[in-house]
Amino acid sequence: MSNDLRDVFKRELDQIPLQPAETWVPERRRPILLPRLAWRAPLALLAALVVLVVAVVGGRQLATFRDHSAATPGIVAGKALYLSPSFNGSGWIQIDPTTLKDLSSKPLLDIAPSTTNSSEAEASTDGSTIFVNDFNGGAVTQRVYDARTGQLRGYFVPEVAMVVDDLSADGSLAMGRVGDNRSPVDGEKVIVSVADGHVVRHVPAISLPGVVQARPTAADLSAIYYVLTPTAVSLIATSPQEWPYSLVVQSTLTGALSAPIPLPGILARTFDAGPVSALSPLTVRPAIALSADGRRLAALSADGGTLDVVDLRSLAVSSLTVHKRTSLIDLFSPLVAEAKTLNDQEQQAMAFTPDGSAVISWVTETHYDDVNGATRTTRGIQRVDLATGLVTAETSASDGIYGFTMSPDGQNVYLVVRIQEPPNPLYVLRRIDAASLELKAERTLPDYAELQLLAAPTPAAATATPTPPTRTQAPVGCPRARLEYLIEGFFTMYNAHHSADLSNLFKTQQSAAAGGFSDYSDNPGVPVHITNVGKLLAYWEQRFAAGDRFDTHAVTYPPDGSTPTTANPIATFTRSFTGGTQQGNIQFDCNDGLLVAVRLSSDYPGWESRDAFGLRFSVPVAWNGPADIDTQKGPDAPKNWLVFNDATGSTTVSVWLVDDTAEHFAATRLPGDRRTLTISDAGQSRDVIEVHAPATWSGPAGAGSYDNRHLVIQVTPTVAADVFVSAPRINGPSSLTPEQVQLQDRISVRLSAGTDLAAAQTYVVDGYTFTAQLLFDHAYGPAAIDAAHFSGLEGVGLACTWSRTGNDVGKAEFLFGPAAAPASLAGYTNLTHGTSGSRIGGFPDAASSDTSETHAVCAVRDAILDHGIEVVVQFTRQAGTTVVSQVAFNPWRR
Amino acid sequence: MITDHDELDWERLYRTVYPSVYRALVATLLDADLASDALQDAFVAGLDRPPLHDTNVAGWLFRVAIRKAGRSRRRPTVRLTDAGGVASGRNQIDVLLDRLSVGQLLRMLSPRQRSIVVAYFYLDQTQEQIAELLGIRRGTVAATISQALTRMRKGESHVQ
Repeated sequence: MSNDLRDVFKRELDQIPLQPAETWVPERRRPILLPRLAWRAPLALLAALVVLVVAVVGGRQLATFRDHSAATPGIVAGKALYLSPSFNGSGWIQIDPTTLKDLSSKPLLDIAPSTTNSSEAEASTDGSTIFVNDFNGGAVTQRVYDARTGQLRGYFVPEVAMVVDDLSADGSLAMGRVGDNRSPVDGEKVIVSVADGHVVRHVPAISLPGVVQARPTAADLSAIYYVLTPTAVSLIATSPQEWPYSLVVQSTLTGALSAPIPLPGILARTFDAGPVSALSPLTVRPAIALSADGRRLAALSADGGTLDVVDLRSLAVSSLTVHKRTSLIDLFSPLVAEAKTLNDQEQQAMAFTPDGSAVISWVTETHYDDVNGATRTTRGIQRVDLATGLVTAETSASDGIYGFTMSPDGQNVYLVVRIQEPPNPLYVLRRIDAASLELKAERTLPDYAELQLLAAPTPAAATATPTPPTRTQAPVGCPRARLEYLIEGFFTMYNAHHSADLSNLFKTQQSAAAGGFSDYSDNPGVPVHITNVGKLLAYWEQRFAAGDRFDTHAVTYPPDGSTPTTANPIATFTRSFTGGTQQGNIQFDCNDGLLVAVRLSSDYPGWESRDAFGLRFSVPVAWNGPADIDTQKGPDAPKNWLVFNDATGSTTVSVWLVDDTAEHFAATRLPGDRRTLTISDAGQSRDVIEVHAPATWSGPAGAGSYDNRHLVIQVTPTVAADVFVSAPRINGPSSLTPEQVQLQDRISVRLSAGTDLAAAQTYVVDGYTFTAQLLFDHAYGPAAIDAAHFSGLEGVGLACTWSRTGNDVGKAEFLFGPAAAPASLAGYTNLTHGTSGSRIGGFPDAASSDTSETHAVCAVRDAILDHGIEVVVQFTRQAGTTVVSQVAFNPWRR
Repeated sequence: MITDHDELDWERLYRTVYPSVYRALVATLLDADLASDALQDAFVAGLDRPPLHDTNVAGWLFRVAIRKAGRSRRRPTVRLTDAGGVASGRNQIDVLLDRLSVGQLLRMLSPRQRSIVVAYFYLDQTQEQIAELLGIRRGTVAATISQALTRMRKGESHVQ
């Protein structure tokens, strides 16, 4: 009910008229309400005079007396109007918004005219920033100007190769496709800080369910609004066709794509428009516009009769019938002109008024002429009230519109129109009243020019002139300042739960072998070791869903002054998340200005946790293991004889696992000095049974005795572990080193029960809920009784259930099987909310397909993506049997 | 103290949210002139002492303007419309609110209820934000919204 009421409130209260924008802001620091009331108070005594004044002014409204703005010539609501006759930023002259005359002879930007048509200039919506791009062969120089002063602010040098497609409204951010302008419109994008070129976030590539007809963006670049048709609109179709429009929204914060939102009544069409010829198709297209506050997107049908307005927060669509109070001249009878040649088309165009209460629309008919090229005529301009759909004003001016700008106060519309066609084209600038659409002023232009609405000019400050860059990608290295940027950014973005922004701190464009991202290790209760960037994003989302945040951190940075290519600073942290807290260390590996590895450890830098054989071991990262070296399993042998080896292959620590109690095992199986003691390390302690069991050795190189220290631990009620280390074998007696004892204590203190490998896990992925669980049952195996029990891993099955919790998505398939090539188990012509599915079967992969890891997915493929849950099983061989040693679940998209 | 540069930023933020906050104030105060004055005063207040964060500028302006309007209402004064009986923006707003179902519903509420309801349903403020802005308990906000909805149901059952 709240959302319904919100819609009602917004729809109705948005009809409250706004006052002219220049009255919104009072004169700077003018007396506030109290003095003004004091000014008003004497009016009570002069009421009669006031009545007289009111009478004299003939009913002027009170607002007239309350005009707070100190009018500045040429400035309307803080904006100035410029004529820009060039594409390279030269010759931009401010004009009077009322008379349309030049206000200055000095161009805004100090750029010389050029005859080469290899530049483009673009201003941010707030008019504060101007981008001038000069293309020279394959290189592009991008200059950034302050539109208020005309001064060159600097050069835009992005960290990654990109082509700028959009500026944020305030000009602080630029968004563009990675690569160059050959990159697809739905390819990967980056959002980059204009000031320093740093990548703010990556926007992943998407697969759009159609062809883009318009692509406005949110003012802060937080969203891209793709307006689509199912296929390309053909200008040369010789039979009638229709292409329905829909809207798909991509969040640039999460990369997520909405389901297509139909725009009812909005179509592009091609039909035979005569004059009485089978080869005279006319294509008509609807208009798309985004409101100034970015909250609504409007689409006007090609015939001008249907206006759809999308609330971009709720994505609710309301459809209006555009109508007129009278029908003396019905411009909305089918807007079908005669097609003069093949490819003629009519295009609706539209713009919101600044207060969002109306749209001004017009139809441009484009006629393609072999001699003169494309020529335009305009078929009517209308103002349509958005609350009622009523056409409140209209004009039938027919000159082709080549430029359209609305004054920021909503009072005027400025048009560049061509009043005479080639070979001697003549352009004029017109000002028309935005309410009545009546012509108010006109000025002849020497040539085609565009209109630019920029921030009001201010005097230039004395600043150093920036120098052109000699590179396009700065070798930033890993100096202290860069490390602070990366590491503080890591904590900030992690706590903000912005996985896409977080990934921008990592060197993801290169492989690990080439010095790029190599690994991310974490253990917030379950050990995680990730080497794939896609999985890293999914893992972060999983952690963010658990409310994971760093509460404190302290970083030891290297001293300032040097500019190393690599660095590995370490931070200490405390963190909290649902169900737990943790403290520990993080090692950040920086290479060439970006992070390539992050290793979180709950105990020591360079240590990590490993789940294996039902236990969780905490050991140095550099060690290999645990590996079970007893493949024979004699009748009295421990259940597992595990060893950890260092990088040279030497065994550092061994562990026996037994189904026994620690007391019984030590008493019956370990002869030697035995005592119970409490070992401690880094604030953690544990009771253990210590047994020193000396042994002897002899060989060609000599003989000696050496000490073995066993620590027997009751890990679970039924499993005991014997963690032992041995002194070096040297000629003569040998004792353990203090380092060996310390390592043994550290490992023993932290040894704990491992993950429940059979636990189910649930993920919500893009409007689906998936639950997956490993099944440990001997019925599953390569020699299973039926196909459903056939498994790549002996004795391991997989159960999965899913349900659609989002909106209906149309056609879909249920996928199950190896991640690289899942099988389609079922198809749906329309997958509706509440639809569910399930599958119980053998673990769907062959263990021999890879040597240590098997990936399976349970997923649904719809028109947008494959969405699902991925199950990653690590296994080991024990006594000829494949045994699952680790399992991980990840959200999965493809 | 705010700098010139900050002033520009503050004005930019202010202009961004002006339409929604102005309309919210009109709906709350039922007086376009008072809403305009109060919002401009809130703008000036922001120049002197800007909000600590710019994440909820609309909420901040709404709160400050409501307080400014409250002070001005408490002072004995004669408005030009009162003195002259001239058709003004206030009359226009009256006409408009009479036409809108939301306007009719808001008239049933007390000013305090209106401020909470408008902040919640129009300005998209959360109950926690409203409680923080108005210096009241969240439970009070929830109760007020509930009471207001009850009153509105009784008055206009079709707005659900």
